[in-house]
Amino acid sequence: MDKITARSDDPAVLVEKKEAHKQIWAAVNRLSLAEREAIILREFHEMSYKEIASVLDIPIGTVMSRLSAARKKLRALLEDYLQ
Amino acid sequence: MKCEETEELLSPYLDEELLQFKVQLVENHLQECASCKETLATYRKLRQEMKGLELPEPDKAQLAANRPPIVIKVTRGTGWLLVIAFAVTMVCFGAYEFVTEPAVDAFVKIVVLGFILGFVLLFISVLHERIIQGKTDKYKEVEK
Repeated sequence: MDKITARSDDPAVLVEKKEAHKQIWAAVNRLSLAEREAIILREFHEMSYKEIASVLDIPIGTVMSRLSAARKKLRALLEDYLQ
Repeated sequence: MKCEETEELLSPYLDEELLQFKVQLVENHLQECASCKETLATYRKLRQEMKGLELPEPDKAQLAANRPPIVIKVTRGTGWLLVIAFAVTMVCFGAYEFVTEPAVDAFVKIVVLGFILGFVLLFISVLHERIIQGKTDKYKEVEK
C-alpha cells in the first residue's frame, strides 16, 4: 500500500501519466462525434449498451458497432502506446 | 469462426454484452488465434488506461472567445431595462388617460381594464417562474 502511494506521488510518474492522458485524449478527439460519445458513455460513465442506446436514442446494434469502430480506431491511433 | 467475424465481437465481448452462444464462439476462436487474443489484450489495456483518465480542463482561451463581449452584455441589459421601464410608464399613462376620459362608457372602461389587468398578471406569473428557474438552474455555472 505504502509502495503504491509513494509511486503515484513521484513527479516523474505524474508527468509520464499526464503525457499519456494527453495522448489518449488526442486520440479520442480524432474519433467521429458518434464514436466519441459512445466510448465516453461506456468508459467514463460505465453505462451498459442498453443505457447508451436509450440516452442516444439509437438501436443497441448501432451502439455495438460504434464502440467496435471506436476501439478499432483508438487501437490504431495509440498503437505504440498500447504495445 | 473467422478473424474478421471475431474482431467485430471482441468489443462487445469485453463489455460482457454478448449472448452466451456467441461468447462461446469467441472463446473458442481465441484459444487458437494469437492475433485476436492480442487485439483483445490491447482493448483491455485501452480500457484500463481510460479508467484512470481525467476529463481535460477546458481551454481558457476558447472559453473566453465563446463568451459574448462586454459591450453586448451592457447594451443588451440597459436596452431591456429602458424598454421595460418606458413600456410600464406608457401603459400606466394610457390607463390613467383612458379611465379619466369622460366620453368613454364605464362598462367599456371595466372590460378594457380587466383585460389589461389579466395580461399584467399573466406577465408577472411568467416572470416569477423564470426568476425561480434562473435561481435554481443547476447548469448556470457551466461555461461551455
